[in-house]
Amino acid sequence: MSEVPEIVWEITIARFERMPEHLKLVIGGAGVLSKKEILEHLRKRDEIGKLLVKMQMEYLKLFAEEAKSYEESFDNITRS
Amino acid sequence: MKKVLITLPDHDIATYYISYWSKYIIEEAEKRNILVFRLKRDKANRKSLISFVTKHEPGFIILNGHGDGRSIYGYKDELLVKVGDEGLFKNKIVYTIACDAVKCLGESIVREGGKCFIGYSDKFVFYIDERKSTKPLSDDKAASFFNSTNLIPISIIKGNKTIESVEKAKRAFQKEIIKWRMSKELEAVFIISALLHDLSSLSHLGEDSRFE
Repeated sequence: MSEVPEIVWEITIARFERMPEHLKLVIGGAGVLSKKEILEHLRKRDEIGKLLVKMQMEYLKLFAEEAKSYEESFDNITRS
Repeated sequence: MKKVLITLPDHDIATYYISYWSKYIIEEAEKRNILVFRLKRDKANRKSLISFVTKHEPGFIILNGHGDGRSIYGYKDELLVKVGDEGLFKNKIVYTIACDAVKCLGESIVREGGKCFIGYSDKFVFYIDERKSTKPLSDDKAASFFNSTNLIPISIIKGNKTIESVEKAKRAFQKEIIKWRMSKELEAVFIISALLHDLSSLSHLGEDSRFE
């Protein structure tokens, strides 16, 4: 993974700060991570942190694709 | 008679959940009178695996446990298989949930005569609800991941070809993503991101095969 811009780290941290406490993330090889441990990895900017950022980016990409698709549908309706 | 071998280490939360959710794979095989070799807990070790595979020649091998690019681990993370063990998997279908296994080990197994290798090219991740961790099968968060990935071995056991089985699992992941997309629960965004991650790293290497 190439250099992660600072803003992306901040967005990911802000996202995980809202994670419910009862939810735990299991990462094969890294074990079970609580919200506190996830935030520690993100603040340390380590390999697990990078994986969490990658997951967040995949989510944002899906969100962007959905928004684009709605926009195109809306354009088609208003044009016809 | 068709034979399947499955490793079931359960020494930490990840392997405990994976082993618990394997119940449905085993049930499907037994329903079809397929002989199932279960390497449970401390039996999920290298010596037992080599012995069972050599002696009984199962056509389908399911390796549960942790992994890295070059190895898969068994009970208490002791080495189960590694690059160099390709001979063990000649003419066999291999499925594993172990992290990164496709990268090097999977490619090597297929190159050296394995029928096909199905697994994840990155870390397999999933969420659990801590309040349900003593009853993994009633954890609806984990269910989204295991119901999807379990479709691969279940579909292969049912007689479908491997590529079709992987496609079924991919569609199941997509359905789960849509389900959580419609959800107003706070957990949804986290679960969707993990499902997307697993979906994007699910890989099929080798021939489109049928379990015989």
